[in-house]
Amino acid sequence: MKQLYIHPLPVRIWHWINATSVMTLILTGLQIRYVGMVDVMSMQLAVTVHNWTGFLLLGNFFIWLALYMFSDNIRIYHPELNPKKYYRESFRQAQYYSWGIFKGAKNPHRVSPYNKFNPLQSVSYQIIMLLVLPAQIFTGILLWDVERFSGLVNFLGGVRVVDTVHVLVLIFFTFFLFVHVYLATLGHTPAAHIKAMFTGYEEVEEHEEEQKKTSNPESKPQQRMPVSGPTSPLQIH
Amino acid sequence: MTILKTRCKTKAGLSRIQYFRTAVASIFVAWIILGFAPAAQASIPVPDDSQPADDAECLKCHSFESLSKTMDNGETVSLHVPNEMFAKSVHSWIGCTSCHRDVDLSTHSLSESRKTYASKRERSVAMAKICNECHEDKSYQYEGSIHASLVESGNLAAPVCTDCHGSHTVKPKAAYETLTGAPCKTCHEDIFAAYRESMHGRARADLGHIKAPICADCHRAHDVNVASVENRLKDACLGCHEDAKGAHKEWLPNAGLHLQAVSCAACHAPAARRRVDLMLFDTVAERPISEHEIAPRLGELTAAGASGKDGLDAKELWSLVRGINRDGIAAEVTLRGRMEVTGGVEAHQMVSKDKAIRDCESCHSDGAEPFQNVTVSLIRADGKRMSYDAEKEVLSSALSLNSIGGFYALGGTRIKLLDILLLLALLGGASVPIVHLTMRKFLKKDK
Repeated sequence: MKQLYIHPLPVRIWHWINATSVMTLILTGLQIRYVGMVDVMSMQLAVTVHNWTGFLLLGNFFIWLALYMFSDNIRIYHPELNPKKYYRESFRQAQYYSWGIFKGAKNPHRVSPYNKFNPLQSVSYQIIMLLVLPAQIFTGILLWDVERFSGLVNFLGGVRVVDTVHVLVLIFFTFFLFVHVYLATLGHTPAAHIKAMFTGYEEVEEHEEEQKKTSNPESKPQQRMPVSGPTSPLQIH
Repeated sequence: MTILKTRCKTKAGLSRIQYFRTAVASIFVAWIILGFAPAAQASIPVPDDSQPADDAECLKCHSFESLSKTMDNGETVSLHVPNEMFAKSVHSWIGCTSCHRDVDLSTHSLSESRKTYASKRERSVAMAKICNECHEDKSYQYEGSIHASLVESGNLAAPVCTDCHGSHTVKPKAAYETLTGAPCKTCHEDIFAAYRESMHGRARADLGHIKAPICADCHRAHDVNVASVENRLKDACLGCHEDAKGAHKEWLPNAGLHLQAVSCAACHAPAARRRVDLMLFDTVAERPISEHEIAPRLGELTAAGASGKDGLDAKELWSLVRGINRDGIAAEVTLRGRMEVTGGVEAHQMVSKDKAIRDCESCHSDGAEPFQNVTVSLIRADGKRMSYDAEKEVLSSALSLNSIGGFYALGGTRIKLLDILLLLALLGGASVPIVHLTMRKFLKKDK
């Protein structure tokens, strides 16, 4: 097994702030929505914690935006620019999760610093980070001070509509978290990926890496690997 | 009789020279007073001793208590003028004919010249219009009031000027700022009793706080209106409690929204029963919709209540709002929700702020009391609010997303469909690893 530095420290810090924020927001959100049925804390405290955590998540979102959107690291989300190949790889990945894994097949995705997401991960993370999470942050800000944003709230159809969108995204995240955590246990050991998110090092089978290099020398992600410079927040060690 | 005696003595008792001297002196004094008085006061008629001589003529007959008149319906109205009371009234100096200027003494006693009225009340309503001639500003305010609208709609029990001020015993303004409840109490006795026991009533009567409000401070004296229709009452509260908005912001999330969607009494009269009123509202013109505007669709509102149900259901409400918008009655109609207390008496049972409702859970929980009673309302032609019952489920129906888009209370008015979706997400989310793990185990063994 070879130790590959996949998750640089800023990414790991970002990930765990994000994870803690999202979990806190979901739990306080459920407390706010189900007062009486859930009585972990008072509604007033839940609202206060929810609001502050929401702003923490907002700040963290912009850190992500700066880390990825305005730097070279955007390539992590787009290792493959050929749509045909992308769809083919997505299909292979879905096939692996829905059937291959049961039969003991190898994961078709090979992890590397600039190709750390499989195609399904890549597309779902992009949808979440560029569409779902901004929608949640946006509706959250509107609900934080409805009077201040009354013009926008009314334009969107009223506070009930805004809240419904907010709750629909909550429902999505609740489902997503189960799937996300479960898929994180599908490494070579159940704790491998989770451990990597703490240490930064992913364990990959060495011979496979070497094999891939020799059998597929034109692979774009592999070519891009050495690009990372010393100023990059995702500097490869 | 005091006025008349004084006047008679003045005219009969002075010689011509004395009369001339007095007149010159009076003019001189008047010139000095007018010369130094502020310009604004110069134009205001100043009461003096020169009461109209006609008063004596009038009182020759109208001082008799037995003088009366029969109306068309057989009612008898007293024509007696209690002169001592009139002398004390603020109108004593203007004399009888200032108001009764249509009376011609030469024909007054002839039965043909006498005006006839259907009833005592109709006479009072007709006579009260005379006040308009001098008190144009107050009359203008009154015309926009709920009282005037009720009179116009044929409700003869609704008050006109003389019901509050009296006809010949009009008192100064200060006389109405007392704790006797007069004149409002005459009709609104139960409400006044609730006010008297409230913190406002006690502060004024028991603690002597003259700034504590009495009826007209919140409801106004002449342009009295239905307090809960718009933001008037809230404005009245915040008019005195200027720091209230800031004080709420210190502890209440979305304080501005709460002050907008929850009437002050809903929290500050904790003993009151509460309800949610959904008012048909023109969001562009920023005004409530009137009954006559949606006349063709009124049947939809009344039919739901008559069908034996608890009132309009979510589908009917959605259809009503959609229909009104389709008719093009207003630029955009929606239902504006507001939490209120159920009645006027309860609205006056205000307590001190340390006893007000402060726990969020009393509203923001499933099945909370305020959401058990829902009404849909609009404004009638007389300015009064007309409410129609609606089922409480309208507040938690997905169909209300459009019709009641502007009203939503976390926890209390949750959309049930979203609860089901969340449950499915939890079950579905949990079943993904369970099913996947089971299949991995099962198929691996199989292999």
